[in-house]
Amino acid sequence: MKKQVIFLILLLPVSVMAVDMRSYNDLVMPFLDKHCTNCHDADDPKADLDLYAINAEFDKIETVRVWQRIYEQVQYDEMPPAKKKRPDAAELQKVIQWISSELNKSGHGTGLEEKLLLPDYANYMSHELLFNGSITTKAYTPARLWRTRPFIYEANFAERYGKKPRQGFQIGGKGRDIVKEGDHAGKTLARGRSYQHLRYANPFFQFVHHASGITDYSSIVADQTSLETLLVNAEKMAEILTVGRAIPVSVTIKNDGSKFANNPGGFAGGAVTSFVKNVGLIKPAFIKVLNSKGTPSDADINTAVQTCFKVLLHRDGNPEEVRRYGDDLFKKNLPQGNLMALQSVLIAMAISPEFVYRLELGMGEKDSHGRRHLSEHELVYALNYALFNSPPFDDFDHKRSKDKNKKGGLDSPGVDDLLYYAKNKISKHPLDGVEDMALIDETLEKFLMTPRGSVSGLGEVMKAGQLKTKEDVERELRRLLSVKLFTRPKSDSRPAHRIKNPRILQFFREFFGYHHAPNVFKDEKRFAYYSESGTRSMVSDTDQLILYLVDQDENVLENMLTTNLSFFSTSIGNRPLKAAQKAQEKFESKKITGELSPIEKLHNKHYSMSYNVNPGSAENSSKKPFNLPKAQRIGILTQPSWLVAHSNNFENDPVRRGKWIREKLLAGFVLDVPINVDAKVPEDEHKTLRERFSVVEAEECWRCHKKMNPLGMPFEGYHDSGRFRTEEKGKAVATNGAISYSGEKGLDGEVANVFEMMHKLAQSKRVKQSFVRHAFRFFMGRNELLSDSQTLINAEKAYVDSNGSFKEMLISLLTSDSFLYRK
Amino acid sequence: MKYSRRHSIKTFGKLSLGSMAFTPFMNHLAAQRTTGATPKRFLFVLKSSGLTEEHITPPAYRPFLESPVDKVIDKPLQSVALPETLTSLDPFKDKMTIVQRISGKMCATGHSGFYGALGAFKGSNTKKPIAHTIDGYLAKKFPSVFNHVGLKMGNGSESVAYPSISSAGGGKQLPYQCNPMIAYMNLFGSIAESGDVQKKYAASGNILDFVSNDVKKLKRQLNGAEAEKLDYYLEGFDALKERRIKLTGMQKILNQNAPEVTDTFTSPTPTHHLEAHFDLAAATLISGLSNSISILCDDLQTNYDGIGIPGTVHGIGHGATIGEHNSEQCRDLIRKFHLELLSGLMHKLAKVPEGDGTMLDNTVIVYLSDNSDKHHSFANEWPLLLFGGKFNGRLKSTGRYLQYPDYGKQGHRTIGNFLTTIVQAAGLPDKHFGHLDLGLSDLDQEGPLHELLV
Repeated sequence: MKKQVIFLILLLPVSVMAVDMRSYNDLVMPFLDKHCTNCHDADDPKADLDLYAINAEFDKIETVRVWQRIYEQVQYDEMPPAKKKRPDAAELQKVIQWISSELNKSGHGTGLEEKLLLPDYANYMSHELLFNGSITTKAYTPARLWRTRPFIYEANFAERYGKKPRQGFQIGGKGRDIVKEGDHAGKTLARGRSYQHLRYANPFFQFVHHASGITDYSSIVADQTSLETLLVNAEKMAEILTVGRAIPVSVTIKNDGSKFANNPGGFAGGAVTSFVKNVGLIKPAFIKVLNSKGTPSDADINTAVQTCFKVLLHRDGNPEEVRRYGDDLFKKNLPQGNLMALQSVLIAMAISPEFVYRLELGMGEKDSHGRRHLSEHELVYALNYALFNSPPFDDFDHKRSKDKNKKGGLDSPGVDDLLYYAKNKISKHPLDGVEDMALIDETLEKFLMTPRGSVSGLGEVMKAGQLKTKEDVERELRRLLSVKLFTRPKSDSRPAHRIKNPRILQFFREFFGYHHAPNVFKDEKRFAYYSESGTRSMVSDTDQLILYLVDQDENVLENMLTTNLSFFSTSIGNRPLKAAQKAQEKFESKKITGELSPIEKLHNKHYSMSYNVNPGSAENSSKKPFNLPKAQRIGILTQPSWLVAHSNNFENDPVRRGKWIREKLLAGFVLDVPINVDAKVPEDEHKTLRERFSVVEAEECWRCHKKMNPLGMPFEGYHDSGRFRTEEKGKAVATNGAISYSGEKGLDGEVANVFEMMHKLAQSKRVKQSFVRHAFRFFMGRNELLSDSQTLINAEKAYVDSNGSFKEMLISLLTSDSFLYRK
Repeated sequence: MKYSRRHSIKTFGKLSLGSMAFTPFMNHLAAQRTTGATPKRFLFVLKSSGLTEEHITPPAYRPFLESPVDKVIDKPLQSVALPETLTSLDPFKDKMTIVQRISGKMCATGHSGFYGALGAFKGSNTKKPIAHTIDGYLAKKFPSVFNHVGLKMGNGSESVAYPSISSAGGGKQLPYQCNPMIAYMNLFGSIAESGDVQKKYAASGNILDFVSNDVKKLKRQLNGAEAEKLDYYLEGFDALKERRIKLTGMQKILNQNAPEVTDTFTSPTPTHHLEAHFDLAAATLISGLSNSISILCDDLQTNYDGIGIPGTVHGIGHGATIGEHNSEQCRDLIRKFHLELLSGLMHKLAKVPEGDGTMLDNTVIVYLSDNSDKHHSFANEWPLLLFGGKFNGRLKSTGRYLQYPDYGKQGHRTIGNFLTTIVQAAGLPDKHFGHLDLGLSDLDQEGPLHELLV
């Protein structure tokens, strides 16, 4: 009998899982009566929907279909109609959750719970509830694992173990040293060292949530491909830490007839000999274990395991951990030799969950609300990685430099950390006797893994017991945020790496999305001034502008939306300029008319033409900003980088631009493109883009497009290369648009052009709040929960009270309960 | 999505060894057995710094290279002597085709075409690949335990390299193993009975077990959604173990075919590693561990100390004299070395009977440079050697010298056409492989090299 019962339960269809009738009767029905049945009644039901006939029989497909329709209309704020009274936000949220939950149970789910973990759908959370102050729940972040982001792994692995050094010696060239011994004694000798980034694979791919642009979120997982790559990298790392790093050495001897060329570290021609030498910085504890004859003592094994903990995980292992690594790994692998046994401990740590994920379980004290504070060790990572990609701890046990100008620098080895140089004997090689061995050895010693200091210094602060409380966090934040961020562009495609507090720039990049400009392919023949490298310069320009405005730290968001300042990070360059000047002289002497002069041609090719600016008039603009014509530009959204990033291959993309404003500035959302829609704008070479877009004004399109197109159309005042224009297809370009469905009184309405629109948006409270929500997501790595309401309100207040200081807003977020507590 | 994936992890985790037979790989094997279809294998051997056309042209045919050619030249190889550096290939003349004057200007040029040689598209070492290359594609179409195997001569203790040559699809670069010992461990480690290999295999097995226990322990401390995250990671441990289960089931065949681990595997001399790589490649093909292998013989920093050329390939490319050899002599020595190794591999495959011929008959082999014809290339010409005999009854690589009309002329063909030939010979329906050359828009560029297909 018992068996039968179990069997029956298993067979029951999912759909009969009990419907929550209590909520249906007490919450949902009254809601429908109040807001819906007036129009959707039995007599003349609008849209053929009779809500008097509705029931909660979710096992019937027709019922499910009706609830799906209701869900869509209510969730996307289509219903009740805009002119009717708005439902109470909290009540609405509950109704939506009830429908979603019942649809899930019936097997026709909306996937709302899963969507709510993704940043693309974070705006589904009621904006009104988050900011109206009605929720006073104590904030926390659910205990979580946060996958290491690719940049952090790169800083941890690539910087230490992923570089391949090469050493070159040239004999008989232009060197400053003299060979002291061997066949070539007396000749000149030059040494050149180079680091080549080993093309190691980063196990943690960069994940982009497309709509939100966010690349690092705690909902991202590490998977099988991560493991395979981690394992390979860990083996490499274990080898470097135990036997040293193989450095290829090449010695080139200049022969008669061989010549120099632009080859890094090498002659063109000449006689070359190369060999490989192992060099390394090996911890004394490792040496002891490696050199021991027979089984090492337990004490030595424990010390070696503890050293592994310090090197890789920057903490002491607890006794149980040390025992397990010692017994279950080291000793178990001893039959494979001491080296293999030690390497297996290192490898295991470098693929352990602690290495793969930041563990934010809340290991600190529990408070009266059931929340646990982050422990010191959790906090040091949380805070450090909120602002930096590099680790909080210094390498090894080196003393930090007392010289304050030496940033993150390390002076000398710690007392207990004697260095050991693993030098393998250089084997005989074909040109033996040629090299000055002493000189080579001396040079190679400098190749030891250079210890690196932590940029933030937070590890030291924690070790000193000064990173426990909210006040500690605030003090450290103020210290770290007091530096100027502005930096001149370097020839590095990822300047985010080079600036102080790189996460701040990264936030603005992901928020605005302008850094995707180089990804939009355009046929360069269409515009003389347009090139892929030009788009990278545009991105640098906007990077600089953002850093400049964050350094000013006044009305940051408003200025970003309305400034007409700009930078030019890339000038014409001396060589092309000189060549053009030379040609110009000829040109002028010949008095040619009716054709562009060489200088004009050169200017016309420069990417600054995307700003309608002659590059000849914008000198020194990579250091200080200059004013673009006020009648042409207003804020980041009119920077060519943003315009190009939000355009397509051939033309503007008013839909994406409008969607951007809807989501990023108005905290709104637009329905996912329905699968039956083949979104295509009809081709017509005589019509302007706006005219061609009139097709979406059909009712079935407009219900979504009305939330995007009116916001995107004012940018028609620019060409898709970012250039300001007044005409399109021989007609005066229309730049009018509208702000609508914003949820803020007084904000909605027609706008004549992008200038009017940006000024209105910059003044809006809702836009500031939306900005706060997006900053929250980026720095917390998750979507807002209703319980984060107080955190968001405080952050907005901090921003407003400080006259628009981004830094004050950030300090408010990173000292909030949402940041400090786990539950 | 999440649920079903987690669900499948859990379900698969419980499968016994017997039910592994339902994996796609085993299905493929089973299908092969029942239909009697001959296996298809592919080997791509690449070198850096270009493969010059005159050096692979029989002296008797060199005049063809001099004057512009308007029509396809198709001459037999049997009657003529191969160039000196190709003599090791004499026994395989009847399966060989020397292909000349195809171009590859849709690829990157300069020091390397990167993914272009095997993909016929523009690649770079700083960007992710935009599509699959042929080795990655064929590995997918003809699955095996390891799918694609990449081997590269490196230097020192280097292990995995990412040389931007092979790709399994957009954004999915394939790795190359430089260290023959690690490659051996991955491929044949399961059968090792003594010596270091077994030690390493045992050690990594212990590590995987140890860490997966740790992960499971942590998982118990977490709530639903967070615990689920760890399932994705745990799946990796399961998959690595799954591979070992497959390998355990192949012990007999692996034991028969595993290469002998000689000093070359652990030698400090990189050229010895290349020798080991060819041994590994032969054994891997014969034992069926992979059907698609790429060997990258060198890069510009490689030195051929082991064959008496202690200088870098880059230096040689720029005309360096190394010891007593001038640059040309160095290039000859290097090419000869590669082709001798390749010849050795082909001899091994020729000894294994398969169907009504040998394993070599069912293997397509291509030797070419990742950088077409020169150290600094423009990809106007992409000389290469093809071996395939009558592969699958579809290929006509039967001792021929094929020279196509010069770049831009009617009848001119590209590296994309060549790769298409291989794909179609393998019985795949693709109309064209890779990108088209926009500079040749007035030519019909799609399809295979018809001369080579039955």
